Amino acid sequence: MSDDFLKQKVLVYNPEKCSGCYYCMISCSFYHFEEADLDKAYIRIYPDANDPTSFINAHCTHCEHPICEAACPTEPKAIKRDPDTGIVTIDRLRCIGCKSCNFACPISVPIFEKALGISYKCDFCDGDPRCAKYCSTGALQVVSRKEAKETMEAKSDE
Amino acid sequence: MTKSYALFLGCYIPSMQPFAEASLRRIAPRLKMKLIDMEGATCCPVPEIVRLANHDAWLYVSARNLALAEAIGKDVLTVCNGCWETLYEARENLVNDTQLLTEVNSRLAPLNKEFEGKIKVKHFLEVIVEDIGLKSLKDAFKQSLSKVKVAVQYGCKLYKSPNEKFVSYFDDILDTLGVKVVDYGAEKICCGFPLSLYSLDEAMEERSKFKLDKMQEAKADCMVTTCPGCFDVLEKAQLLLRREGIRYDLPMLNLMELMALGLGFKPQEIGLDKHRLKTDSLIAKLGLGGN
Amino acid sequence: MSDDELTLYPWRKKVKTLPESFKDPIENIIRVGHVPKLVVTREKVRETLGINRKPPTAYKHEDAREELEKLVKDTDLYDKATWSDRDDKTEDEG
Repeated sequence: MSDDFLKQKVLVYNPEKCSGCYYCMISCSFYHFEEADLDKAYIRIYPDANDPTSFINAHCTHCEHPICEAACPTEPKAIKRDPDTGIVTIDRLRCIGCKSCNFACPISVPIFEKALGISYKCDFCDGDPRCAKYCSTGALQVVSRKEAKETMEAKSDE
Repeated sequence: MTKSYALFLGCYIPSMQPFAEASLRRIAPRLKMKLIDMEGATCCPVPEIVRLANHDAWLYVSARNLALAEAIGKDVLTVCNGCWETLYEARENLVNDTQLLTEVNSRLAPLNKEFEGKIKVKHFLEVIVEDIGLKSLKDAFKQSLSKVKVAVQYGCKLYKSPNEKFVSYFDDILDTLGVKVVDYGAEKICCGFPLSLYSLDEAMEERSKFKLDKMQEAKADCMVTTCPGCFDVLEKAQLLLRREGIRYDLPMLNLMELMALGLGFKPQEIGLDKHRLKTDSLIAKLGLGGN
Repeated sequence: MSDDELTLYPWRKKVKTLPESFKDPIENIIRVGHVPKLVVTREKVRETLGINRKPPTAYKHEDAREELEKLVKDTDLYDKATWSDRDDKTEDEG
């Protein structure tokens, strides 16, 4: 992994700090749709089925080699990864709503929006993700890929 | 030595929970705190709603409130987790960005107000532990509260404080007051306020009720919080759930009320009987029934 | 939502009002200066507790509320917040 790649920003989620307020989802849906609707959030928090006092989340990690991009059948691709920022976005004018990305993503990040007939996914709010910015407890944070990797490795060693 | 603060009351305490304000005003002199009212303060404004709806409006209004405190020349004492978050973060935004500060001050100028960033924003817990000291609290302590078992509702924002220090401050104060704290396992969980912006029913069912059930299982006598928002939601949830035939006996107390009781004030003096939920059984348990 | 997108697909308009749950608190903040209104019964409770009938905030000082309104009027929040009270429901519906 190159240095530039490791400097790119990503989200990290700390379930130990999450209170399950779902405000990240509300701020996400408001930023993108001006609605307070959990179903329109690009980030998802769920109660942990094994421990109802804990939460788990699913957010786009903006992969180095995005499988959603690979699955996108349009030409040119509706899904693109910005090589500088590493942010993977769906161009809503190019998306044909085939849902290939929905199924290709291992954690089903892209979601099909019926009203628009296209898929949408986390666009990292132009570099300032509202979910982390407004997180009530500080469970969601924006860090570099290097820091995220170190945090996660430390967690898995515990 | 007496410490002075610019008191920021917020919205819910003066209008809906005056017993908390009465408690604060009574305990302050005992703890050598001088409270200077911020005349003309408005809503902080509420971070969950106004900051999201319009970041600029949120910043301008909070800067006006900060300017009021700066005119007094004292650090702001916030008695609400939401007010602390708004004023603390607005101050951080402003003092770390000179250009933004100039822009915001240009909006405040027609109102003859200015914020330079000279004052700090402090949470009630921070003031008690860091400025007043737990020893002073212990010295002022008069009435044993050991008969009551409380379930703590910290409120999300306390986890946002540096190293979660406010959470441990809360525990330290309860420890000093000598109350029994029940471990109900869902302390961290949100009361449901932000979720109620999406669906009140879902917030009641999945957050408030979940917490209340856990507290009841742990045999708590009451709940204690420093957040008027959590106070309102968890009280309202109990009243709303009665329509479904679900009844709890879990009065909510603001930490300032619990401290006032510990400092020897009578329940009626601080308005413990003015809560929306009955507090009779709690008063009896405390052995303070005779007023 | 980009300008290109709006030109190409005018039906993909941004929502022009606030979420329902935001309206009341924001309107109250503008009209009262605070989220909850101070009702007379609560004023009486304050009095019996030995604290001022009106809190020393915007509840007491109308000029404070006016100042807040001036600040909010500089932003588009004001238009969105007062939408529900306008007499242009027909435009809204159709």
